[in-house]
Amino acid sequence: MGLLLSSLSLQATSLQSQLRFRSQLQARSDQDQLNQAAQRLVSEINLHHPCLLQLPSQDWARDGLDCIDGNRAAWLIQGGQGSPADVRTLAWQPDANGLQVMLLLALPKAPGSTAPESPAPGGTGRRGLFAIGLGGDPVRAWSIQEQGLLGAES
Amino acid sequence: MTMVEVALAALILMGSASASAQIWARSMAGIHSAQQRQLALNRIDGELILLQNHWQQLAQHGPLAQSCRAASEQLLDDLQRTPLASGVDRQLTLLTEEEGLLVTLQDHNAPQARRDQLVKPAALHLCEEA
Repeated sequence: MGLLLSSLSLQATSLQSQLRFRSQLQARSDQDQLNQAAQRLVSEINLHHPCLLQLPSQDWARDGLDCIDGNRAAWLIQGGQGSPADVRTLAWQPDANGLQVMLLLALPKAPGSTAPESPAPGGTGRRGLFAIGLGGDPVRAWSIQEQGLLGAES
Repeated sequence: MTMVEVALAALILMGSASASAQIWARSMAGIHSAQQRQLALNRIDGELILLQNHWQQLAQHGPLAQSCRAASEQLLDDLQRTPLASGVDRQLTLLTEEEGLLVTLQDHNAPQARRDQLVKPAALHLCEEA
C-alpha cells in the first residue's frame, strides 16, 4: 500500500513537471514573438519615423508631424497583418529626460482563449514590457531590453 | 484461511507491488527527464542573455555600416565566431524579405527547448538606412 501511494504521488509530481514545462515553453514562445515585434517596430521608427521617438503613442496620430501621417501612425499602433509590429502597441511612453521609452506590446488574443497555459489558436494575448534606450544626435533608439512578460488584458 | 485463499492473497499482493514498482520507475524517469528539460531551457535562456548583452555592447560603438543589409551580414559573421555553450545548437538565418538576422537556439537533449531571437540592426542603430 505504501509503495502504491508513493508511486502515485511521484506520478502526480511527474505530470506537474510536464505541465510546468509546457507552460514555460509557451511563455518563451510568446516572449520571442513580442521581442520580434519590438525589434520590427523600433527599426521602422528609427529608420522612417524618428519624430515619434520622443513622443507618447497617444500623440502619434495628431496633425502636423513631419515624419508620419495619421493613417500610418494608426497602422503602427494597431498592428495586424503586415504591420511591422504585428501586435498591438498599447503604449510608447518616453520618460521626462527623453532618454528612455517604456514600450508595452500585446499579442493578439484569440476568442475563447482563457489561460496562457492552454491558449486557443491565434494567441494568448500576453503583453510584453520593454525599455528602449535613446541617444545620439539626432536622437535614435539604440537598445531594447525586455522588462517582463505580463498576462493578457482583462 | 485455506491454501487457495493464501495463494490468491499472495498473487494480489505481488501484482499490486509489481504495478506500483512500474509506476514508480516510470514516474522517476519522467521526473528525471523533466529536470533535464529544465536545465536545457535554462542553458538556452543563458545563451540568449549573453547574446542580447553582446548586441548591446556593439550598439554602444555606433553603427556597423551605412546599409542595414551590410550590418546584418556583419552581425552574422560576428556570431559565427562567437563560441556557444556545449549542448546548444545555433542556427543563423539572414532574412531576405526584411533586413535582419534570425538566431535560433536549440538544445541537443530537449529540442522542444527552442528560442527564436530576431535582431534588426536598424532597431539598435547599427545601420542608418534600409
